[in-house]
Amino acid sequence: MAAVLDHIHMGANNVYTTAHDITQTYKIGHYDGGFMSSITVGHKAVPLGGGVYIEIESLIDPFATSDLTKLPWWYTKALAAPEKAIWSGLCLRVNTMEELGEIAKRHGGVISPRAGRRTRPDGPGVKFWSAPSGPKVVNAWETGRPNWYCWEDRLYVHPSGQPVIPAPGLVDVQGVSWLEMGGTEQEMADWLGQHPDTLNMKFNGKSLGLYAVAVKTDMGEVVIRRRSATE
Amino acid sequence: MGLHIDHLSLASPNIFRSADALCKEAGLGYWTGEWIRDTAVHIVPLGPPGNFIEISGFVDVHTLKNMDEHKQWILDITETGDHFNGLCLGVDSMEELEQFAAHWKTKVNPFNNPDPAAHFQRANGYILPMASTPSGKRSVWMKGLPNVYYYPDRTHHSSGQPTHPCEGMVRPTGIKWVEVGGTEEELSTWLGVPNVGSVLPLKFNGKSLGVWAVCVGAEEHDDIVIRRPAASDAVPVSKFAD
Repeated sequence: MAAVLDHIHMGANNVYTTAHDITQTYKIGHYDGGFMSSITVGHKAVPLGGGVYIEIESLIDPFATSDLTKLPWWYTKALAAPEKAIWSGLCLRVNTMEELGEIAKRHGGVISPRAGRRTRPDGPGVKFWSAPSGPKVVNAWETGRPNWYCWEDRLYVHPSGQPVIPAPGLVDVQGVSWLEMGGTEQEMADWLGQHPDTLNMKFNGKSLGLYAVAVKTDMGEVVIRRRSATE
Repeated sequence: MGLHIDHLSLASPNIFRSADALCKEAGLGYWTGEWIRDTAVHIVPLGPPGNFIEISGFVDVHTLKNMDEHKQWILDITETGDHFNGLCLGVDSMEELEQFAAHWKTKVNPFNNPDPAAHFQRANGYILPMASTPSGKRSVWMKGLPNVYYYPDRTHHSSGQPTHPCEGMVRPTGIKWVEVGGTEEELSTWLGVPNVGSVLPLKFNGKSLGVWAVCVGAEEHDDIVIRRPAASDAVPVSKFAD
């Protein structure tokens, strides 16, 4: 089965103001997603409908900055961006670990040996595996390419399906209508192993990476543009 | 209510982790999504008549490139973990707040400052109107002393907002007592309130100034005592004596 769009990572300098800006500007709600297993990164989620969400993350532990190895690469890029936030990762989803393993193998890597974990404010954690990983595999996000995820068998609590904080004037989100990507359709098809049309990708010919996300809403289409990780 | 305890500030190196840990330790739920500039708070409501702990910490660590005395103080007191760093009293009217300002020969920080960045903002767009005193370049919290607040609209008070559900959650029934450093005489002199220990539910432990513990009642549950060192235990108040 072809992979589907799962989430889009937005690296930010301040997870609070970035989420607030999105809600104020586009009238798309968000909620607090807790903190990641690295514990130095805080998380907010912006459901987009259709099983997709934006994952906003920023460093929230000042003592992490004293150890440069704990600074995510996207953090420095986010600081330099005009909106203090970038599109840092595009994340696809497959349903089984077997599919994830096949994708990892096709890219000359393995499934990430450690599952990712996030502790939600209401307690139950979420757990997921990603691919491809390994010493011979390029960092997909950093090079503007999608990677793949498989969630623990808890899709019923998928981040895209959780309630947002009520706020005045929020739109009803109905899914992602298209993604503006750098590179070419052929480059992306070779990486994905499936036709980019299945993910509603458009190509602008710039360097690889994500440039814009269009969201269907009951009030019309909303286009969210941010600097790409590769710019 | 007259002069009362409104909230306690708990400075944290990582508010997400500290709120999660306190929730698991004490069964007290919390809500998220309130911030001011580079700092955010996770709020732990403690029950009537409207008390809460605000777990506060930096969420925009880049601002630490431009260090100032207050930021350095927060870093210094959180380097070794959570510390209580503020006792926040409340009054019921602007007139009462102005009396405290007059006692301290200072001004009131107004609740209607037109700059949104001067206020706590919430994820739903609400901007929290809140007046306080004393006003000054240096927070009195750094000296281990309380300040006083007035909320013109208590219907949106932080203690009354819904929390995330958590396992083993209790229903808090309010503060029973707060353990503070110093003596009753010292605090009475600071506030200009004689015998303040008979006005506020305080216990004095004679240690360095600041909050050392809070006891919270809970329905069908033993009292909950949350004990953390006072900020003055990490950074002596004498550092800010000038």
